[in-house]
Amino acid sequence: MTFTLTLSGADLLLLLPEMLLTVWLCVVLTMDFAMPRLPKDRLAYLSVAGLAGVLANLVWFDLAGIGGTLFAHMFVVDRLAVFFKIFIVGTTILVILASVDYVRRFRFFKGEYYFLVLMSALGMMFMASANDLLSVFITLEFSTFGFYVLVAYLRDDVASNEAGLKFFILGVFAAGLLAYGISLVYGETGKLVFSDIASPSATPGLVIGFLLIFAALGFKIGAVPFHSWIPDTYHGAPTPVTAFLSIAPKGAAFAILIRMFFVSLAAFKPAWVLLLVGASILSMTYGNIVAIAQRNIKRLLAYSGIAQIGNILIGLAAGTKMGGDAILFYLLTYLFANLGAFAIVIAVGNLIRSDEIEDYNGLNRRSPFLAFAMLVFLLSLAGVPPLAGFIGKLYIFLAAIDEGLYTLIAVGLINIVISMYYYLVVVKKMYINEPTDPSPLTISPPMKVVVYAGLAGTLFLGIYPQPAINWVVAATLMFSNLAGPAAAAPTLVLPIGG
Amino acid sequence: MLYTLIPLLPLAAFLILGLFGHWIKDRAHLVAVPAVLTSFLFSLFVFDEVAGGKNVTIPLYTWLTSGDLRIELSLYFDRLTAVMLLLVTIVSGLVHVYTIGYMHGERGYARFFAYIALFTFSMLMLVMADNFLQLFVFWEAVGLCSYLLIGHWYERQTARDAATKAFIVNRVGDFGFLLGVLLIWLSFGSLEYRHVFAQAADLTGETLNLLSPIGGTWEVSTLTLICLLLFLGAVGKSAQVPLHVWLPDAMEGPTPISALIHAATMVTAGVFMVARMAPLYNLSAAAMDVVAVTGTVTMVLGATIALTQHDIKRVVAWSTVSQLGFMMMACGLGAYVAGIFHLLTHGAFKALLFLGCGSVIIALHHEQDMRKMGGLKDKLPVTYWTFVIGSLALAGFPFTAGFFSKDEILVEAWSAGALGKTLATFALVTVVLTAFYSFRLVFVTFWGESRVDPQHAGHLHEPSRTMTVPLVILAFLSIVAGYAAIPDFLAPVLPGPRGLAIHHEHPAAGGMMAIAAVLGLVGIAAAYLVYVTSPGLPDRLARQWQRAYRLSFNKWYVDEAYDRAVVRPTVRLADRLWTWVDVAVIDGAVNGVARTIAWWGWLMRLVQSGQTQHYALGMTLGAVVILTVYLLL
Amino acid sequence: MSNEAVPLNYVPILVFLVVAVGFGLVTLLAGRVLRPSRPYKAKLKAYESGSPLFSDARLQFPIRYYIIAMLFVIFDVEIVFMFPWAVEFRKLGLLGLLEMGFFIGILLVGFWYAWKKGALEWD
Repeated sequence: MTFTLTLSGADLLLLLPEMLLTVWLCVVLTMDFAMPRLPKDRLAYLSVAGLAGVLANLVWFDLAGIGGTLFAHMFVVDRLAVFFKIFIVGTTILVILASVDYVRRFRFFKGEYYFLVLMSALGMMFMASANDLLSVFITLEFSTFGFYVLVAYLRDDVASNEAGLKFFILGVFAAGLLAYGISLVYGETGKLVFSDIASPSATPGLVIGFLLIFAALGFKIGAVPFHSWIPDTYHGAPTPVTAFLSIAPKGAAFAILIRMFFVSLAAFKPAWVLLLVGASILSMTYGNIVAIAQRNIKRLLAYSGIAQIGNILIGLAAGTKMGGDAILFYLLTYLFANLGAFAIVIAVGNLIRSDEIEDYNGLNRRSPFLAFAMLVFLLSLAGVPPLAGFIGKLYIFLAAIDEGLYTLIAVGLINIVISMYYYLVVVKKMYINEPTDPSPLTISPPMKVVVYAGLAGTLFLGIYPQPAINWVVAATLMFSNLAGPAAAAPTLVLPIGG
Repeated sequence: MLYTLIPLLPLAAFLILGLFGHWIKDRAHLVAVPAVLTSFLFSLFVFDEVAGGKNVTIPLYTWLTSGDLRIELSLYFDRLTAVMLLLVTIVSGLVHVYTIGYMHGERGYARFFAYIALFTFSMLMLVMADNFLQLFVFWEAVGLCSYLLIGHWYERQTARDAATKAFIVNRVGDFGFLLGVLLIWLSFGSLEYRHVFAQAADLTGETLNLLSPIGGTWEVSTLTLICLLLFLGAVGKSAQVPLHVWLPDAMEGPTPISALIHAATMVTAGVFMVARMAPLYNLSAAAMDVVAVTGTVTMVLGATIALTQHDIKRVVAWSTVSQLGFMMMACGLGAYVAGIFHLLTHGAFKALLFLGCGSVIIALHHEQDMRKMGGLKDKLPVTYWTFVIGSLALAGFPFTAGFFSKDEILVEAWSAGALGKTLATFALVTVVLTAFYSFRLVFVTFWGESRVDPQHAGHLHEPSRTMTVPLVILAFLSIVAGYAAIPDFLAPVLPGPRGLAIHHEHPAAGGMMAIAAVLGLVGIAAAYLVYVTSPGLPDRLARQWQRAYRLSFNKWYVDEAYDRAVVRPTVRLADRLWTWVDVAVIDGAVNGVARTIAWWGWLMRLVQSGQTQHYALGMTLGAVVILTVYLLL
Repeated sequence: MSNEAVPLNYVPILVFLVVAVGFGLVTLLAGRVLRPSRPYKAKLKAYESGSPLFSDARLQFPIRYYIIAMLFVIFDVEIVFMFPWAVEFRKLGLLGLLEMGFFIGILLVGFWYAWKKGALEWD
């Protein structure tokens, strides 16, 4: 194999968002140590400004339809990648804004916090563009390293250290599985690029290889049975990191999962549907049932997140373009609702220094705004119309029923009922129970921005979802040839996966 | 434009109150009341328009499109919509007015009005839906409003879980409903009523194998399945057995909410839905039978429980459960027109009864126990007389609204074959029970000796004008609504399975009328006998029929059964899974890594003799083992 | 790819491995059986190039070693990237030069950071 480094200016353009972010994170880091007296809040706003520039750049890519591949197809820019990059950058902006108050509590390395968040975001942007197995491995590790440090950021806190250690050990284990899986797939096919792998026959090595890769990505998204790191890590990590960890890497990993299942493995759909159906049912049911037993809001959201991932896997199991649309749309609704809920947890945690659900008693008396926002976010997560979560769930169920996945849908619907219970327990505590300390709570402006953004997104995606739907439909256009009910009609037999 | 304004005015009221509630505060009614009353006037106009046989569809906006999926928000008006609009706007308007007095000076006054305006909007959108998804969304939205209203203004410290329970139980029903909607999408490729109804007949022969995922065969008619799944939603929303448990608990909310949401409008959505889906249900005899039997069971169960409750609102609540069952039975037997007719009259007299309860409760400073009432008829004359009218209507006393609508159902049921005759017999028994408990309520609360807490007994007085005027208007409606020719008006849009409904010409009509009237009077007389002439009798009866009494008093132990069978096992499972699986796995894994390393260390100490050739030997051996395993497999 | 062929092709290697391992094992075992076994303290000590042992090998040493080691690895890897670039310098042209500048610039920021944070100071 010979590599030729022939990059034109047009090729480099594809890398512009990543390069911008790289420069910017160097700037942020330099500002931090070169100007020690600069208030660290400024670094947060500086990071947000840089990310806003990257976001503008990505939006331009999306509108202008700029795309292509680089480095022997390792790196791809298409509308799917751009969608996920916008998703990741948007999440990062909100997470940084939500971190400002929290970072003041750190005793060390306040400035580096923002640098590490940007670094992880950069890694995840590369993940969204990963188009072969090698770049999957590199980008996945790249994005995770930042998180290892971030999870264990509270140096004096045993829980945070424990969380970091557990996350690291299991993360490294997952990386091992990934590397082994990749080597098996490469050994069987001699190919690394997703579209080349599309193999005509399933050899045992290929099956084991893809299973191992799925296990590693399943670890990343926290699907049962690879979820066990989630509760402890979410619980121990600094809350803004938990918020970040619960959303952005999931999106990035779904970018890879979608490419893997819809491109490389399209021809083997009958074989993997059952795998995904199983993972989805287990994740939904397990996450929702165990969430009932939780006393800590971060753990509750951790388990609810596992269940939400189970819901998203329904779309993957559908394996059609509509399934892809539904995944993307669901991720958007999840971004606003979950980040919003975590923003409330961060705000309340900053004010009362507790994440126990008991301490949410009477939140409505102390801050009607926070309580109302939390109510909206939790109801959206539970899928109550007319909030965003409802459309997300509906979309995913419609995609699945077109593929005849009745059992999966029935289980999903039952799970909505179960999830209602623990979401409402929190609501009940906020609204009905008496507060132990009735002093009013007020939140800072950046926090308000995050909560308002969450509310706006949750309401907008619910009441007028059409623009977002058009966007996700455009982002998955490349999968239009996947077998759906329309394509299955005799007049429209299309070659798949070839 | 006029049509669109009917739902939009309450929505505007909600938005104004929601966003500017801080400034508006106790002037909130100045925003909400005119909005709803204007909606009422427009509804009258619409009623007049569609009475001419005109059906109107007004698209609002395209909610979402993706591929073949296309869902619009539209307003659909026909005669059924028109009568429902009138019911909703009248009761909502009166409840708005009543609330001015009831909630006076309470905290969150503006927010309360915001929520009932939102509820009114959602309920209006529900009845005007022209597709299944819109129906479902507002079906959920009314549930959400009900949740917010119970959850934010509970009146007593006990049973604060009521709101949560109501929402979750409803979600069980909605599970079925949404599954039904998805199945409709799969079968018809559309969610619009007119497409689905037009194609429904083509689907009669189709079946669906329910056991295909596990390789079995269980062919079920698709139409029946759709109807049953949708009905599950109605079971939740209209508090039918076995999902009836939430409605009585929802009485923890403020009384105007009970009147509006839990008596007149939201809970009747299930009955409305079944009637609206008549073209589907008519094609599935099995589903109709299920609806009819469920309704009958609910009717009897609700009535037996209402006999023994002490809480004044709970008696009315159980009566609502029973009456909803009665309506559902009518729909199940194909008497949609009669069912909707009763829904309308019931809306009037049950709202009246609840608001009457509210007056009593306010006068007694939030006392709801009937045993601490009595002798109120002289202190609260307006409340008393309107309450009596409401009770007469509920009991089916001749020439009240309830009499006509009940009779309509009984006649229709009697003419609906063998099943109809059986269920009608149960209905006749229920008529006696209904008359008995409604007059038990009147006699115990308003007659006899005063058992009022002496603290409040001194200054008992009729509530303010804003509260009594709605009572009088509803009392008036509880009588005259029966004389409106609603059955004739509705008959063309709600054909039963045997074609257009033919009611009063039935030979049994006159006889049934007489029997029902007599049975109602028997019930009232029995209540008079038991609670007025011999005051010791109730206790003696309760002791003599202890087992039956306990069963009724404890609501047939359904709550307890659910707690044992569903709630506690789930919570326990959650706890076990968490501690056994997660904690064990994660700690096990991480500690396992440490232990494995320690174990390897121990193993290494055995091997590690400091001689390099031993390491090399170990590595080579490892390689051989792996290679051999790979080659052998 | 050619599944059936794989085991057959590799059988000689397996045989070779078995023979090699067997040879080693047999030699060592033969040595153990044949040689006299008279252990004493000095004989059992680990061999440290002839100098006497003064402490256990497992001891804590300053974290600075790690920092220095890490910095070394980072800048060492940098060279790995620079070599091929230097070889093909002419062919890669200005764009290549700019890219290498970008790369080194990023590393320099890291270096500057380490310097400012005092990672290069021994005390």
